[in-house]
Amino acid sequence: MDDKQLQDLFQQTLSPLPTQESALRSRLMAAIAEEEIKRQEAYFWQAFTNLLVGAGQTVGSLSQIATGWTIMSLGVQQLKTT
Amino acid sequence: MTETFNEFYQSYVRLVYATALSRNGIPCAAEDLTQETMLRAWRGFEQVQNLAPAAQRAWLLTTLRNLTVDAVRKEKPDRWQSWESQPEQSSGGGTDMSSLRLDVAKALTKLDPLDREIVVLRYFADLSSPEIGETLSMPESTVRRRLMNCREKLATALAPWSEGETNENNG
Repeated sequence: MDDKQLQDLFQQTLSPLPTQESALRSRLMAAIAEEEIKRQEAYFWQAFTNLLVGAGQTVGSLSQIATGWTIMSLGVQQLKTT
Repeated sequence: MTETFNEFYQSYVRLVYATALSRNGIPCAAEDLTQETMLRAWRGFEQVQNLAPAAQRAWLLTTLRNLTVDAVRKEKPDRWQSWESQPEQSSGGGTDMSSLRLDVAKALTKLDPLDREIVVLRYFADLSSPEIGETLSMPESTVRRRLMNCREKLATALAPWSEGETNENNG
């Protein structure tokens, strides 16, 4: 058996059948679509979390400004009375 | 599926399937392994697409090897049994494609895993010895020596199918 015959044998027996090729492609496309959805969901939740954290930080900053303002006002009031 | 990944898929899907099939001759197991290998390629495509062709082949074969090891661990043992339980020769130059597939599968499973990859790269993917050496990171002389041994074993195991019988079966 020479190289050419071995090549023919391998091509005939190890190649996927056309139906298998098409099934493989469909399965892969479905799996990729599923992964894409999962990826999009992960992006969405990450963005949502970032938004909440950012909002939390903003509220924190506003509350710090308000506290500072109150203390300052009280200080000014105290100065006026003395 | 992007166009670039589609080209990559078209270039390698048959090689991945043939290599997977050569391990135990079971088409549905080969399909599962091919699917998972290609899915991993898609996940890591940003890196994989920048590799040279030999490195891309090496990446795919290494991924396939690792997945096979995992699959063998997880699956029921009977799915991965070798062809030892089957009759020694399906039909001795039999008359249909399934007999031929069975005999080729049995001949391949008798080779060691690295030899199987070399044989598939040579006789299925039609790569030269230097290309196989580059893909499997081994000297060309080792590839040639291993190929010579494999050729003898395969010729003996598949002798009943020589002399043009496969052509008749194909038609």
